[in-house]
Amino acid sequence: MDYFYRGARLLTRLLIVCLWTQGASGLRLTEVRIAHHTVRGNATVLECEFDLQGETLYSVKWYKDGNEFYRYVPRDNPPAQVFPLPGVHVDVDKSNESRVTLRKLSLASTGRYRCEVSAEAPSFQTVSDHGDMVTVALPEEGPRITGGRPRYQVGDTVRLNCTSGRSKPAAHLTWFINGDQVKVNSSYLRGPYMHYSGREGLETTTLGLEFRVDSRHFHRGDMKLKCLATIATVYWNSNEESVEGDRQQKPPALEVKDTQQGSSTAPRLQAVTTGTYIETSFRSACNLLTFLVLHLYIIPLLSTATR
Amino acid sequence: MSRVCVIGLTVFIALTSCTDQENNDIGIIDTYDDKVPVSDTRAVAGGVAKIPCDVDTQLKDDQLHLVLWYKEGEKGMGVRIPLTPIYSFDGRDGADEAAQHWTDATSLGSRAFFNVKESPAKLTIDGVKDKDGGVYRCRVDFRKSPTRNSRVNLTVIIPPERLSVVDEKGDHIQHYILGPYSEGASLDLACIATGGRPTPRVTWWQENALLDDSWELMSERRVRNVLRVEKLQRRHLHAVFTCQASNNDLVAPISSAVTLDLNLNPLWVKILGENRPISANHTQEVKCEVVGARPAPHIRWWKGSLMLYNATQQTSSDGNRTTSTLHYVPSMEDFGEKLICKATSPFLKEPFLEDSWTLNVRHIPEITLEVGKGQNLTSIKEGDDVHLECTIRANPWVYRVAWEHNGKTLYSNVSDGVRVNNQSLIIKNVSRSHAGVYTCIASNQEGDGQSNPLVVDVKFKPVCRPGQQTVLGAARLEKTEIACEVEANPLAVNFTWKIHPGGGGEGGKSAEEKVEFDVEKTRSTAVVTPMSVTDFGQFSCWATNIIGRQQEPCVYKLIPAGRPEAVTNCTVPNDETGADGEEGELEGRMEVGCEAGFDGGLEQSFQLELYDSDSHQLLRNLTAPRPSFILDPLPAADSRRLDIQIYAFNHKGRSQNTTTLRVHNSNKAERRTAAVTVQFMPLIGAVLGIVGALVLIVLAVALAIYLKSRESTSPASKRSTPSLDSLEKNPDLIPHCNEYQASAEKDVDKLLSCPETTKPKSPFFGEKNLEVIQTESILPHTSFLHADSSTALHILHQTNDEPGQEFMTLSGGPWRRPSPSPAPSTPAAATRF
Repeated sequence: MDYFYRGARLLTRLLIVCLWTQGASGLRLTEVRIAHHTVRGNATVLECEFDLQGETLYSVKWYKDGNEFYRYVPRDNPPAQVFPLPGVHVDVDKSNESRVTLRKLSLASTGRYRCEVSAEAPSFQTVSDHGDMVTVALPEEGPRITGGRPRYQVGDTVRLNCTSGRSKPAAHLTWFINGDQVKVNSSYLRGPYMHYSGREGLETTTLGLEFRVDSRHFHRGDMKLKCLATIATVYWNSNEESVEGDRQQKPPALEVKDTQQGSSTAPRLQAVTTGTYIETSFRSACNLLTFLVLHLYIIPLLSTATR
Repeated sequence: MSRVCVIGLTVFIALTSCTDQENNDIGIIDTYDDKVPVSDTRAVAGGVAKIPCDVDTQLKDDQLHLVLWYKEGEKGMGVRIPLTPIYSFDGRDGADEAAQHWTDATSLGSRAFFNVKESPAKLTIDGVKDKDGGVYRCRVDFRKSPTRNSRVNLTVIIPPERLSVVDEKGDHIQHYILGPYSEGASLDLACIATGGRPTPRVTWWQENALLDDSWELMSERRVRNVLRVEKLQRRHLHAVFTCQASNNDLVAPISSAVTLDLNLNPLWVKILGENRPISANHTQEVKCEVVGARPAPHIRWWKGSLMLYNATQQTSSDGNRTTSTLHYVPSMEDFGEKLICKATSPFLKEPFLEDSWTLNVRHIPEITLEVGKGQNLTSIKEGDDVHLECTIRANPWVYRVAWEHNGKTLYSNVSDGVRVNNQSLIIKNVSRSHAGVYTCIASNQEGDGQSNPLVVDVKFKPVCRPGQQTVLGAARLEKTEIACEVEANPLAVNFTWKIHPGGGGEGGKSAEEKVEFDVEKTRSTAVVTPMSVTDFGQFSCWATNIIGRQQEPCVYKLIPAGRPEAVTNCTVPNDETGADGEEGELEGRMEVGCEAGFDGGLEQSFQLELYDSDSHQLLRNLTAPRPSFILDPLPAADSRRLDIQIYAFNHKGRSQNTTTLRVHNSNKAERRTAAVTVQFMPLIGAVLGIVGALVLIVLAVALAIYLKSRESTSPASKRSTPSLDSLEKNPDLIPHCNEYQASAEKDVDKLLSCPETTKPKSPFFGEKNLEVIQTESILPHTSFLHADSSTALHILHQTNDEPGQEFMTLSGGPWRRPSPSPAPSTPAAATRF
């Protein structure tokens, strides 16, 4: 019985939280979609979906890092107004109250973009959300592997360097031995070492691989050593070397396989999607709570009271 | 009851829980962490908050459209849950004056106003509440310029609620008066501030000086600062210690002030004035001042170890000065004593402060007179040396010491053996005249002091008391008391009598047997009733005390008493030898004076009778105890010859002779010189022959005396009237032999004859050139030899029937009647033997 009461008390508290969060209504921001990474020179669309729910729209304002660059006020004529910012080039024709198209993205386009929607007087209800966008300068070349020998014997020391092409932000390098990724904190790795170069501040990264050759490093007498360079989700490029063990009397050959797959389009903003799922499940939990309290706690009480 | 509530709540939940599910998404908290600068401002709860917001346009032709104030955290600040501004300023329709102000009623209401006229513009919030604190965002929309967002963090300061000041014991300070504390004590004063956010700073101040700024947090809401003042001093009196608690500089700090009260020791104690000499027994007023004591001190006076109470105390209006006035009467014993004024405070344990005077008391000399060392005052006898010592206490010292004996100032007198030497008196060879009361008197500026009277008692052998009647007359069978009085010291005396009967020989023995003796102290009385002539005679009396036996006896003579003698030498004093040469004129008042004759052994009186010579008529009759009379004038009509008759009388009768003066009551009165007529009584004629022979003898004796002592005796005799008094009945007259009288009248009185047995070894007998006249058996009757002045001799010789008892008395000068003797008390019996 004691446990029953304690559980009922906990449920009641949870219920109160549910009730409090469900109180608001009115203007509602449905979705803000901003690509996490964009590629320099490309264009991108910033989307801001809202539901007025009966309110009149006063304004939609877009800020980059707190500075307004686009405004859509239906009462104004024209309703759209652009304020120039470095790296922000609004294509007015391809922009309206719910979307803004940026052209000619540059490294300066990186920043926090906020959409702020306000209803009309008198309440001037306001909703806003933001997304962070990084515009990437892709490397012009893939990763290069240096320092390799054509043939290694067991007990030899492999000492290789992988250097990415110039990019911003710097590419992330990963080594694979025979297709197995070398863990980030492995003793085989040296670096990564960053180098800045150029006026734009582009970066190169070097990651060393150093280990004593063991017989298990050879797979059918070969050892494949691959270096993969990635930048977020917009860039994948690798380079692979294959060496022979001494036992297999093969002519020495260094096979390099470039597996560049090109930059891919940015996926939907994952965070938003995730948040939506959490929210939905939270609401379901609240309803479940209510049900539980009603049936497990209150109704037995009522029945005892009427008895 | 609780169940009903729960049921109500459950029903409410059931109705609201699952409605409008799509529109009620929970927003994610967006903290608006864009790069928007945040400034800070502060406001005191209850006060006014002013939150700035820049609304100035950057472009010339721009226009302020709208200002929206948001409060972050208010109602969620969600992404999808709209954030409603708490204040809006809508100027899109024109000028600022026409702008619409809107306030969220639930948060600010009428407390807020956005004033765009200020620069920068400010959102003013009155009556700031704790919940007003937070980050305010101001969004300013312009017509042309980009929107301007600014954030201001408003911190609401809650001042400390109250202060409490408590002392070491944790007691609250009543009426803001601290103490009183004792001078020198230390003070721990705690000030506790309650409430306030942020934590207030609690400080102690005195005037404008910061005393202590070290505070400590006691609990979440209480901050304490303990002020410690070591060794409180006079300067801390009425010091105001102020505790302040403050957590901002926007409003005045709250403060609590306490005033320190101190108990202070006196700064000084001083007896006012100058320590002058003072006179004993005069009331003195002394003041003692105590300054600086708080509260008013108790002032106490002490004389040595004796506390004095007769003092009054007054304190000045500011309490700083207390004066005690003492009235006291110094005594001479106070000389050298300390007069102390002590001040004490009832609350302080400090030692007394005091001031003192050493009293210089001046006083009249106090003198003690004592007999010198080694001398016993009770055993001084004649011939001893006496030493008296005068002990003096005086301030200032005496300038004069005097001595008094029986009230008379005493001076050094070498011949008397008295030597006065300041404080000592020495009497050599003391005599009984030195006995009496001695006092010593010493003087200083304060006055004269007199010593105790010291009685010096000089013991001596008995002596005869002078002035006694030594010749007593008694008639036969008349009981007579002979009193022998002596002076003696000590008085305890024994008497010895010796009687030399007139009969001589063995008569003395028989006489003693007839005498009764009675002793009363220094007086011994012999009671004699003479039966015969032998019972008369000389009575000698010696007294003896412990000092010794009387050297010279008192000698009394009991003589047969008879009628007095006639007066002689009568004169009329106003009978001047004037121009007319007349005397005896009874013109005015007339005085008649005579010399009294022998009283016959008894007290005599005198009678004057005035007669008309012609008619023998008695005109006046006067009686007087002395032979001196005053006659008032007679009427002029009685101008005639007058006779004055004067005679003496006693109990035995009147004198034989009457002296007659004859005077005239007019200018024609007859001149007379010593007109004395001696009238002989008829009886005298019978013995005329005897008288004749007597005259011859007198002449012969007178001649002999004259021849023998012509150099010492004057031969001239003015008048000599020998008179013979023959007693009717053989009145035996026992001649005097009183040694005392003889020595007292040693110039002229001569003792002619004393019995050999009783005659003292007086030096007079050898020195005086008087010859004892032997009248043995010359005349059968008593003869009197009467000497007038120094040369004339009155010889009275009475012969008795019994022979061998002749006495002669020689006496000179004016006849002195012996002092009245009580002896002849029975005149009736004495008239006849």
